[in-house]
Amino acid sequence: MDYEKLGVFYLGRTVGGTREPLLYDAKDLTTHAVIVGMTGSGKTGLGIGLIEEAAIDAIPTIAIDPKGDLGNLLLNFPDLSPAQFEPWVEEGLTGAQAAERWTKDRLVNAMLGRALLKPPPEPRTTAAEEVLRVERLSVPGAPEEISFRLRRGEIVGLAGLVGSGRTSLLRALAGADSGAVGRLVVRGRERPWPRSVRSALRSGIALAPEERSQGLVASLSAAANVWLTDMAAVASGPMRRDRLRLRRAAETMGPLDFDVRRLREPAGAFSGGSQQKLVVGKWLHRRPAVLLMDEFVRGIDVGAKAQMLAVVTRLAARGMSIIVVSSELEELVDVADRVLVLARGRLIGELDGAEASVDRILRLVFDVEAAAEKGPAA
Amino acid sequence: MVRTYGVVLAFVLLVAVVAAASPGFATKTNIFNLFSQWAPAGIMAVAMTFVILTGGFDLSIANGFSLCAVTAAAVGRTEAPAVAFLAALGVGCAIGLANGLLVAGVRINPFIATIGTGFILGGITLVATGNVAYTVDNPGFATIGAGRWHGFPYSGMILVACLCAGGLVLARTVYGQAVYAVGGNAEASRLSGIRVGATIGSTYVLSGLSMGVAGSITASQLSSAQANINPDIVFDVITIVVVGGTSLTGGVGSMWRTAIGLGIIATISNAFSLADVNPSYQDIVKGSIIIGALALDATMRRWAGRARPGWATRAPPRPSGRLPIAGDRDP
Repeated sequence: MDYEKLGVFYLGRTVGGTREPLLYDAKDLTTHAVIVGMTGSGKTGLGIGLIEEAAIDAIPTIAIDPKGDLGNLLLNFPDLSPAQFEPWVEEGLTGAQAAERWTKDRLVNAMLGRALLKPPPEPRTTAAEEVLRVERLSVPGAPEEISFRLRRGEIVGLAGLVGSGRTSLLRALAGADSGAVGRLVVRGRERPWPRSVRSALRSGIALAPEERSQGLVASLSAAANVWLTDMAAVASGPMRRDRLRLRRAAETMGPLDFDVRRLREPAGAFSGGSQQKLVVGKWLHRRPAVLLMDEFVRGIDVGAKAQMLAVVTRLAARGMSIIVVSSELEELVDVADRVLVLARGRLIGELDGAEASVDRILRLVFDVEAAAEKGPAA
Repeated sequence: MVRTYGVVLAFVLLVAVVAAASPGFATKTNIFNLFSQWAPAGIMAVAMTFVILTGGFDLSIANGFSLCAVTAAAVGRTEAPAVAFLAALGVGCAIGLANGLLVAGVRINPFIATIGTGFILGGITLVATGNVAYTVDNPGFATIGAGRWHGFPYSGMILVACLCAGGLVLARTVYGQAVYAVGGNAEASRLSGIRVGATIGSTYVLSGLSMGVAGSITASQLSSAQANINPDIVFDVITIVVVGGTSLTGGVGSMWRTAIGLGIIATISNAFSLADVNPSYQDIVKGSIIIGALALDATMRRWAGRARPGWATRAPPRPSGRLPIAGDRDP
């Protein structure tokens, strides 16, 4: 959480000694994320200004009035009810104290009322059955001699600095880039390294790419995008069945908390979080054995992040194996059973669930970086 | 709404103006003649729509169409008309395959590739004919070109059939969806498992086939064919597609737009003829229309781009202005 943008405001003001609540039209505010008010009536104008600014910048906001007459605050936030505000009443806080008390978890919990960033521990046991084995994968340009295994229902995180070869690795696995060499065993059968996306798909490997601009066709509708990966399934022979497609798209996207009434709109018209859901949704119905997710929570708001994490966990619980890449190491550590750490194109470490922490990952990476700086003699 | 259907309005106005200015325009004879006259260009425009929708270009159609016409005439001298037209289609198909392989297989820029093949085809046609016209005596040969049914030309029927079939394929088939997807975002389509190369290549095959049909019709209309029948036809065809509103960058457009575009170009052309204007002035107007239509397309897309900042974000919500009602703010 960016605490620079965050104070703890309260939006009441004192007029002649009595406190007057503020009413404002929250219709333009979208859900999620938070700007909370600072104590001291002098900051009210600041709070209002921030809300306006946030609305212009499309930072979704809710304003919390810890001291005012909460019943009068109109919040366009369906998940919150005034009763949830009660525990939040604080007074006389300084900025520093507010930052200390309002931790990320608490803010998210308060906002969403249910989902935490740490997904609820869904009963998930990883089967011993190995679904993917990569041996000595090398891609011209970065990844060198990388080997690892993936089990059914396992979530493996791929951590490393930008440029360490994470995306190259995923793209090579998915057949998106040519030139990779290595040994690949999928579901017990050895396969030639996929030279095209279609051949990777035949092996059961699908990629949700790093840039949303690579994952969606903006000019096509959301429903069209969802079924772009299997157009034949929503067609009778060569003829499309668009109504069926809409229905099936709703079935796929509904559980992802996607507004299915908007499925006919062009994909380019949605927010980052919704688009990310579309990018994932379009592979769900094809049930790949291995789903590769590159930067799966980049550029989406806190609430959407929590939902993505829940989705990933749920998919793994149902037997899909997932490799996630994220520069946001906290999310990565939260969701992964195991973390593979890459630096400078090499696999430098593998951390198991319990011992995987942001700290240890960074330490591993910087050890390697520092050694590289010092030169080969070090 | 204006942006989407403005071109229909423009067409309607145009027809009204021309009909008022030239009494000879709105007659059955004249209109039916227009169908016959514009059938070859129109049919090639149907295929060109597919090519442009994938973000490509086929500049070889002028020479390709000549070669197909020559083929039809050459074969038609000795064989049955049906055989002659089939031969023309075969040649067209071969041209399309060659173009498709070069653009989708070898990955040459379509602009360059088709200019190249165009030159080659022109040369082939000249060499084959010795720059002499082939004439066909067989009256049966002239049926599809010059024949009419209750006054409406057969060639016009073929044109309408192609427009309808093309429109149906684009709007209602899986293949049509692939064309739009590839044109809209080839990389995303590839990563979704669509066969981008086959999709792009196939549009050139369609273009080639359209050259075969158009060439057959023209040869039939004149009962003869020679090299370099109509070198400017490529500009007419592209203008037809673009004026209707299909975007040159691909992914956006439809067959009804091509139909409107055809109507607009045919009407303007006819207006000039009826008013007996020097044909050279037509070229000035045609060139201006091409530039005007492209400029409009580019401007509209820039406006649309501004309203949606960045690829992946929604337009920011505007504050409602009804923010705090309770009096003034604190000092």
